[in-house]
Amino acid sequence: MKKYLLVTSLSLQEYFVYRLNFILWRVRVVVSILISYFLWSTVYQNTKVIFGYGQSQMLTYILLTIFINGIVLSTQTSRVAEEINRGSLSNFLVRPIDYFSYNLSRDMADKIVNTFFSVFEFIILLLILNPPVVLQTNMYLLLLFALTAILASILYFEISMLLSFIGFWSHETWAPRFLFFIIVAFLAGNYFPLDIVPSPIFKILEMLPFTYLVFFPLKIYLGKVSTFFIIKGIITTGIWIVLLYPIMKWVWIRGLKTYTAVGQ
Amino acid sequence: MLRYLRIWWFMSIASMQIFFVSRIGAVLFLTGKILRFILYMGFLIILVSKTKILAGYDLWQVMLFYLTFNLIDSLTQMLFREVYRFRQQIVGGNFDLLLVKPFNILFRVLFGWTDILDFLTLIPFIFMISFIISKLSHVTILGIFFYIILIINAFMIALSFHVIVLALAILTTEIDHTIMIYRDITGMGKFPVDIYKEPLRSAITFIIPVGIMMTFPVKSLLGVLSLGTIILSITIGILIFSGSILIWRYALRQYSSASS
Repeated sequence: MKKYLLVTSLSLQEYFVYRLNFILWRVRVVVSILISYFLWSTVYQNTKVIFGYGQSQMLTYILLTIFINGIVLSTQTSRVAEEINRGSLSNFLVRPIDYFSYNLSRDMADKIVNTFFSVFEFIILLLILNPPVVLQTNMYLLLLFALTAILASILYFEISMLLSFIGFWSHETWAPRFLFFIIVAFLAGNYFPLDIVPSPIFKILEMLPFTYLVFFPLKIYLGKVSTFFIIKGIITTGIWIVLLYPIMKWVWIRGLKTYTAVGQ
Repeated sequence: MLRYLRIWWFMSIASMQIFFVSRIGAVLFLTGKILRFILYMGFLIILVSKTKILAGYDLWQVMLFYLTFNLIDSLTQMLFREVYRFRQQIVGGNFDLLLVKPFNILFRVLFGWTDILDFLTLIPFIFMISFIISKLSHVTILGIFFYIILIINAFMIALSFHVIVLALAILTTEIDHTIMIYRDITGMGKFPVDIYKEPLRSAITFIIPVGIMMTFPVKSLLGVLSLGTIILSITIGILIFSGSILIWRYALRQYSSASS
């Protein structure tokens, strides 16, 4: 356990080496949130409720995507593909560490830094924009929000690791990841709550894992949910996590059999 | 001029050959770009169909803003993709090898790599824009003329920002995030800048002229932009372009060839 904490600590220190890079990355995150924020603000100039969401609920949803992205979508697993392609994966295979735990530790650092900054950005945006927001006080919903965010992080880790394992068979790892980013940005609910889409499409989305990365935790935070919706969502997330875990391990083992440490 | 066109053509052919080397990657990138465009357009259709109006514009007009943004963005990315690789040339010392070649260095680092994937998306954009213009009422020949002029102006401003990014790369060796921040900020032009509140609206209209680049062409087409504002926009475009050339010349004088 101590060695993995050290990995998290060292990864955190990396951020302080490339401070400018990190600050510029956060600027980009804020700019993208501002676009969605102002779009929805304009929509509510002429109406009080749209797609079942009031202004405060929608703006809270959009602003909280900064925070949930910090917790769930922050990851360094794209480095796995690079390590496979460059052959530096060998350095980890010969060490007495579990590569999955190592990556979880690296991800932890990413999540800590991004979440920490997202809290500040959220507060600054609240102070500057002064929007009407939903301040959830129901402890039950807040606990469920935390639980679903953790489950979403695990789910995203598995999907992202699987994507990086493409590196065992191909050097084209950036193109699938680019496609994946676009799919996640839309189907996870980064630009809008997913239940604004027509009902038949939303029913399909509910079966996909992406829905449970951003939309589901935020929907619980807003409190517009039935017990059935929560239970169904947690079970679906759980099924995806349980289903993807053996697939991830199986692909890893198959990948290692083809791995030739090219580049080392 | 003809000589530079020939050089550009040769460099573009070389870029296309790279595209054929990694075909699967190229197809996935193209799929991603098309998917992003379709999903965002789907979102806008769902939204504006419900609200009927967005910042005073109807669905066709909102679509036109979105398509014009995509046209300018794709054209820029298609022609200036080399800028994204410039940092490696500075850090790795290869920039020296380009400096000794007998043509304009700025031309080389701006137009060195033409992205065929963005070219493929341009044609449908032009068709869709033409279709939407045909659906709009009160569009005049003069409006279309100003629309084209202001798109050329937008392209000149985009070129200027790429030149500034190149200059910054020489001065600071940082480029990756600078160019992406430029793209994120211009991304604010997916919608008419009228949706943003003051002072942000003025900032992205005149300081970082996203409004002039992305919103004004459509506004001129719709006939809601005065002739004075059109002339002011072109003047700002020329000033930014001249400024970027001065910054580039300054950066070039500071280049110390330290990495080679």
